[in-house]
Amino acid sequence: MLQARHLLKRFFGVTVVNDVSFEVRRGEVVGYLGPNGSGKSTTAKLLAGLLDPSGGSVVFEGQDISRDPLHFRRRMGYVPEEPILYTFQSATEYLELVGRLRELDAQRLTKKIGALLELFGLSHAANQDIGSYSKGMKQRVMLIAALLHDPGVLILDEPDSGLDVTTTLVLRRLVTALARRGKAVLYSSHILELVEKTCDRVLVIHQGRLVADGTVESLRRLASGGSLEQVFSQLVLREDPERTAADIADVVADHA
Amino acid sequence: MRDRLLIRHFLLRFLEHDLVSPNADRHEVLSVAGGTLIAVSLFVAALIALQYQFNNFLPPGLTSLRAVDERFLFVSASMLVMALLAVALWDALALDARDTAVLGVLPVPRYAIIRAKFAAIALLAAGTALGWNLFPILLRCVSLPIGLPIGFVGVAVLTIAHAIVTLAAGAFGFLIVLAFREGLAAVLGPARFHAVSSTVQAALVVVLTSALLMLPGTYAGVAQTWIARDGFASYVLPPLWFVGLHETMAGSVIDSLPRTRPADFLVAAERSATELYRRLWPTYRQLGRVAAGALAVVVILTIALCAWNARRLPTPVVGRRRPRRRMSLASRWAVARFLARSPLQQAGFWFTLQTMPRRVTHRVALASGLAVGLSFIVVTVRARVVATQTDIASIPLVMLAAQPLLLACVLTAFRHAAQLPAELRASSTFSLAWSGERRPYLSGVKRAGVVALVVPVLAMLFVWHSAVLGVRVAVLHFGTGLVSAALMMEVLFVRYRRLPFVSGYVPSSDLKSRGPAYVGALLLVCYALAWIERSTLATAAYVLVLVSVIAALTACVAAFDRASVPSATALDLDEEIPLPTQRLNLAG
Repeated sequence: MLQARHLLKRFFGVTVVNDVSFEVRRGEVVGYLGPNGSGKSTTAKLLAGLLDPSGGSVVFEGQDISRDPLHFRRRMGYVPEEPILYTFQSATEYLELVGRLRELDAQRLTKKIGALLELFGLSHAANQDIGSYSKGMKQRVMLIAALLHDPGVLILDEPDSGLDVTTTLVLRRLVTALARRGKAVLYSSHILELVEKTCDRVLVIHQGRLVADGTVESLRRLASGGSLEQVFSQLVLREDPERTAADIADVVADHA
Repeated sequence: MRDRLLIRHFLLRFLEHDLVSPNADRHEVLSVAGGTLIAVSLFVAALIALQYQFNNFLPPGLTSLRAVDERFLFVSASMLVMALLAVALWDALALDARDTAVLGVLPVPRYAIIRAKFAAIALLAAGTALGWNLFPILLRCVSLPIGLPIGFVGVAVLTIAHAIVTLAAGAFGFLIVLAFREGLAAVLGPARFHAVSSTVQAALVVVLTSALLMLPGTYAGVAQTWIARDGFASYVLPPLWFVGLHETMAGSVIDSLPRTRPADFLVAAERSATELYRRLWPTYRQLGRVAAGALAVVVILTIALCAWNARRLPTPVVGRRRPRRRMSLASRWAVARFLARSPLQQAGFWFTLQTMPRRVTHRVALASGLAVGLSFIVVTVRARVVATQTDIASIPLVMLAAQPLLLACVLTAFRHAAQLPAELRASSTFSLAWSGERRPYLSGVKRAGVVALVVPVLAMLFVWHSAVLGVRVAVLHFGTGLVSAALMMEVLFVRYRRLPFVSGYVPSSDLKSRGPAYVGALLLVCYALAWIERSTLATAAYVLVLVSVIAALTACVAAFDRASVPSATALDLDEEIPLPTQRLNLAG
């Protein structure tokens, strides 16, 4: 349904995403893992059409999204890494703005916003300025905004960031439920356990390159039956975490 | 070292414009603002100095009275400019939750943060006051008739006195706003202050800008009309206190000069001027004492209120709840039914109504436009404001031109406000949800402008016009105003390619050349419209013809816009900066 074909992104000559190719199929949840600065969020932005690739293309339902970006955006929901909202609006006002821009029917929009705010536990703060929300509350507003138009493909860039345990559990089940209804979901996260339990397939990116693409089981086999954390460590980590932690503690303790 | 770092940090925060444009440059903002400030004050000071070059033999009595008027102008301007600076800074005048989040976690004592904040405010205020008053102070020595034997010491006394009173008046203007803000915050508490702050700020912008713009038309004959005639007026107008202080300090320099017989036509005027000026000596001294006392009180009050409010570092204010009342639901239904039917129109309509009153930059822009318009009216209409007109043919043009003038000022401010993004970083909301149709969204924005700005302005003028022109003429004039506003709105947004309240702001590079031409054309068109309207007001049918012509013009402009700008456009929120190389075509 959504394909990345040899994606390449350079910022001021520095290659951030290098020849990344994969596909997210209908009804599939694909986990996207990688350390900080590996190019996860840049890939997500390229897939969402927020950045233009330096090379390669993003293909949605067989068509390059740059040919008809609006058609793609109508079918796509995106939750960015950082929730950036209009802080002077209330959650209701913000979601109404998004719904109207997406040209949703007014009556259905009002009902949908009310129901989703209730289900995401935001109804008590629905008419309060977003500026006073916690990060988790803002993230929930972003999730609702991404789901409002019933998108066919969902790009979630660390959507669990700042969420409480209950909402994270709901999100996990929600992602599975949406996939069962035929949506294609790309789920970028740092929480390996969550990815392990939620995703059908896992992609691992490191230094801008895709270093692994397979089901959780096939990746486990790579690590001789270990957990996803062990797989991740083998693929991505270059130094021993314990030794690095000890070195940091030494530097912190060095008052001279 | 730490204190200097903190002061620098707070000073740089005054110039933060990264929320308006990704390409904003602090140095550019600073140079444009500083340059404008200095250029305006230099122009006024040079103009006044020039007048004396044509009056080299003005006798001392008349010079003293003229100097009183000029002191009033400079003192008032300094006070109003500094008060406006304080109003423009408003929220930046106090520490906010972001300061607590960034600096509160560092091992920096609370008093050091507070001290640095107020040192930064003091530095900014002192710099601005000096920038504004520098050239009037330097040119004081040439703002004197060359024929008067004042001497070096006398000129020095006059210059120093002028410097002291204008800077003191500036300090007074700045501190009175700061004290008012802090007093309001202390009395209301953070949550209630947060709720009323924007309205108070906008009201102050209107009042102070109007006063500043009306100043050039009101400063003549200060001693005769205000100080001499009505004792009460001089005690309630703060600029007069500082004028009194100046005369107490340096008034004798000119007044004590030996009298020689002036030209015959000046003898009587000189005698009465000297007599009046000397008769007012006790008043000057009293006013001087009031000025010194008021400044001291304001300084103490401001320090006390700031200290009270800075007892602890601020925490985030929980946002206002916006309950949906029945009225709100009814208005939403009415808007969806009659004003903005499509979802995109509604998006533009409601987003505009939410942004305009809630964002400081937008409030200030709109309030300034309103102030300029009101000043135009007051300056042009003057005493005719309350003069009842029964004969249509004798209605002064200025009275009918007031409406299009005020509307044009407010709508120009609206056009400018629409160029400023509500929150630049959040514009990705539009990137993600944009459906590609620009026109319905823009139409919603314009309709919101009509509902929120045009209708209230027309209603306000309708009350005045009903009282002086009669209800029938006022109704007809209201109708003409409404269609004229629609035409102005279409003209202002013709070939507008950006997304109002969303795209990044790029200031116009041609403002200096286009501004005066725009004002000239505006005055011409408004008076022409008023003249045509006056000739049609006698018969309702003629007014109908006029309204139809304006409506047809509006339709033509809208059609031209439709033909020249495609509605379905990809959203490009980052506006390309017009680089000098591009403008000069050197790139190729």
